[in-house]
Amino acid sequence: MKLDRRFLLRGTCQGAAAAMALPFLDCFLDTNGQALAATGERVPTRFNTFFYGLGLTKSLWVPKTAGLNYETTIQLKPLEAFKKKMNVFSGSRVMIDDNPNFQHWSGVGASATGISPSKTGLFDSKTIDQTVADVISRGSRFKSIAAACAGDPKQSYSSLGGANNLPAEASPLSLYTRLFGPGFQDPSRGDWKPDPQIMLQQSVLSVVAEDRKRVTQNFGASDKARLDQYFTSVREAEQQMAAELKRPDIEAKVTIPTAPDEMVVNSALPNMRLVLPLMARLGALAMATDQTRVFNLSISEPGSQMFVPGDPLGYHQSTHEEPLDPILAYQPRVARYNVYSMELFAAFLTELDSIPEGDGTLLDHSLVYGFTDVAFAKIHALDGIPVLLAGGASGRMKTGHHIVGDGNPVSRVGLTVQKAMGLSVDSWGGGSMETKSPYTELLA
Amino acid sequence: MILRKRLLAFSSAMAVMACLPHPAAAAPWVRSFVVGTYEYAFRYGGRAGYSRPGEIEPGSDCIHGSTIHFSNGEQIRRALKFQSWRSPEEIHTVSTLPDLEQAKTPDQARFMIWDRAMSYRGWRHGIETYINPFAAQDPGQPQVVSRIGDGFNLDGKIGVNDFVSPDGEKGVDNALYRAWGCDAPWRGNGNATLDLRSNDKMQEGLYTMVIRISGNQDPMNDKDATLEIGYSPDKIVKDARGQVATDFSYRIVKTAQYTKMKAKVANGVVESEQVAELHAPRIAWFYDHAGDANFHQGKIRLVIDAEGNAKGLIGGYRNWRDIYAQNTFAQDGGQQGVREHEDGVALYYALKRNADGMRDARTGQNMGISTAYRITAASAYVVDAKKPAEITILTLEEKRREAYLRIVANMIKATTTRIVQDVTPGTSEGAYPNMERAIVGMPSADYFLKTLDRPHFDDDVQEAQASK
Repeated sequence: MKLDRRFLLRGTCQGAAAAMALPFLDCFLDTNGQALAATGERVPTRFNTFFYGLGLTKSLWVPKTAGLNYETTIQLKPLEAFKKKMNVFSGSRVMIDDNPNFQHWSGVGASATGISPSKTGLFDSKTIDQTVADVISRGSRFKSIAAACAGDPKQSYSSLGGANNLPAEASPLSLYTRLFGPGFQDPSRGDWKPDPQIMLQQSVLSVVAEDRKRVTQNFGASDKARLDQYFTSVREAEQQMAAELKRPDIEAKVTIPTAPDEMVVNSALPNMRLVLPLMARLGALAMATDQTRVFNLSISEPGSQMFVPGDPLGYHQSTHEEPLDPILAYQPRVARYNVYSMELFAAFLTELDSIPEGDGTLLDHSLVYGFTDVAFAKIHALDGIPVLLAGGASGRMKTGHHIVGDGNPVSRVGLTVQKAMGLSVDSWGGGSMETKSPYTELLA
Repeated sequence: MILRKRLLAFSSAMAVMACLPHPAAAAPWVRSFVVGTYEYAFRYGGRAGYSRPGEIEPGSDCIHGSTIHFSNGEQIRRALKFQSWRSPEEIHTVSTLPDLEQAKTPDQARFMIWDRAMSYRGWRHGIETYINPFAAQDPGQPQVVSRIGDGFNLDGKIGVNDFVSPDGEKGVDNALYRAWGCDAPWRGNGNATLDLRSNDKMQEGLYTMVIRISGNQDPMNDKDATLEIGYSPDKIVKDARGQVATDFSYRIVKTAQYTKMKAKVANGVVESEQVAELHAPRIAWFYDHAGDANFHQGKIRLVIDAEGNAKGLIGGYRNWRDIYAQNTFAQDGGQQGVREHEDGVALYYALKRNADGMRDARTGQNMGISTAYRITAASAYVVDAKKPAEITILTLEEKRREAYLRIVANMIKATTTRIVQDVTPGTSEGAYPNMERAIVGMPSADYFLKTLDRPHFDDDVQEAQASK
């Protein structure tokens, strides 16, 4: 008997029909575990970003050797468990061309868009997560989701470009409510049905569709462009609604938890250690149940304000005030904060890796782009900005490598990401960072 | 036999001639460089391998180590107690920050409150300190006590405060080192924060400085060489290791930040003449304060190595108020203070006290201070552009530069007339509005808003206030 993911156990109970869904079973997948057996559709590859402020300490994080089997460094130690599932990029450079070095922003903008930003706080183009989401998010309820573990919705590095930053969910509860609150239907439940509210909204958009063509006929070029941008977002809303009217293509062996309690969400490290796993778990569940395929998690603003209670300097001030140790040649207190950031990154990866999916885990079917704002925070240096890339992208990304950038633009990593995510793109970035050279040795 | 003897004599003569040093063939030559590091020539006297947590070690230059201004609550209390108009309770609260942990970001709140407080240390309430440093008491700046220092004998005399160079040259004038050499962000054994930062920004593309030496004799020995120094609009090229790459081409700007001078080369050491005004780019880490360093009675000395790279000094007297402004208002005085443990007021008095040149005949005051800057430079091709090259203008940053120039103008007016000047808008001077943002959520926020002064702008300019 052939089962698919929509199979229901049926029967009668006291004269009424009854149905019960099955959990997601391996038999729903093809023999490779890569595709749904019934439809032949591949398990979707998800994309994540992880942002942490203030970089790492070069002498403590850059592996001494390139390629496979590099020796794990002190600051990569928290990620040791994922060494074979990730790639490490050192020696990448941000070229600012004739733009200023916006302290703590130029590196963020360049890493996220491949373009040196011309204004502080704004991205000069769509960020990489949105570029990827344009292609992979069709069919999911949310095009992308951003969450900020330090409790500030502005700590989102997801943008449509310019002032169109997409705010982050700033607490586990708000993230839960967005993902699994009103409007959410557990795809593993047998009583899944289209939301009548969504159907109504979609029908309204369909009604105005004809009128919009008539209205735009006589407009000037700039208004047409503005309206085009507007209707693009309307179309995206339509697509999202269409997705919501259809049961998600995949289901996972997961249980949606109950809503988390209100909790203190700020830059204090002990709180972040509680908040991050919750948010990471919710993001992972959202991807496992195909609510979204793009999840962005941040732990700080650029120039991280993370602090350990009792430390009067905190992270950012330490980068400025703590002298370089004359013997060690680095800042010991800052180095500890660097490690805290990597521990939080590891906690995120742990959640992704804990969800089994087909022949691997959610992490294996994902790509996680870990980026930061600076290379050497004390002087806001951009040369040698670290990039970490975790996940196998459903087998499209070879992992376990240390790639030495040799001063190449950081955009090469971004282009590699897009290639691995299956985007049809030949070049990425702008100005001196425009590149046509992905790290092909990593692409399977 | 006679023929054989003559042949032998001829051969011997030829052999002797071959062994004699030949005068080099006179031919035009050019050696040029792109500057890779550019720092104040402060000689670090600390012991290698000696460490005291949180401090740069003492040394023969600075027996108490580097400055530690504003590095903790006690330092803040010391700075505040000079203002008789502050109450003991205010001094206690500001220096101890009792409810700091309740701020959303405690480190930012601490930093901004102290930045604001240190920006108002005048003789009365409401005088911004860094624009009006004369209105605050001299908190004292540890000075360099060593007798060894780098630089030039600019005045041709051997004075009691002059240094002896490491090579034994007496009469070295580098009063800037005397005044400022113990300052935390500039003191270190290759790891001084602002040396690292300004060099990183230069190499990143903030500005490029080039040097071209030419002559008609031997590049290693030429009594009539020409040395040019100036700005290039071409960004420094770095190699795969992040070092300044050698043998790339750079255009040179001749309209500003440029000087052409005579020089002599002896055994690879290039020594320029002393010129009344030596213009070259100045040390900078922001666009705002980048520009022309005008060295009076300036000169340059470079040693060229076998690889074709160079290192040496550029020196002269610089207007000490310019140096004060370029350092203090690079960000804002309080930020330089709390973050870098440097006190602009102490710096102001130290520069004034040590000024040793550019005497103003009208007032009798020394307007300049002797200086030397240390240069390392990589071999490059410095070329005249087909079209005249110009200094790069960053349109996006011009507003900030204008704001910087306004605040500098106010400071100069204040310190020369001793009439208190206001904070000008468009800078983050006085931690405005950053302190207001940082203390949100603190139970004592209202107290700090009431107690600590701030710049007072009209409502419309308040909105436009930019911060770095």
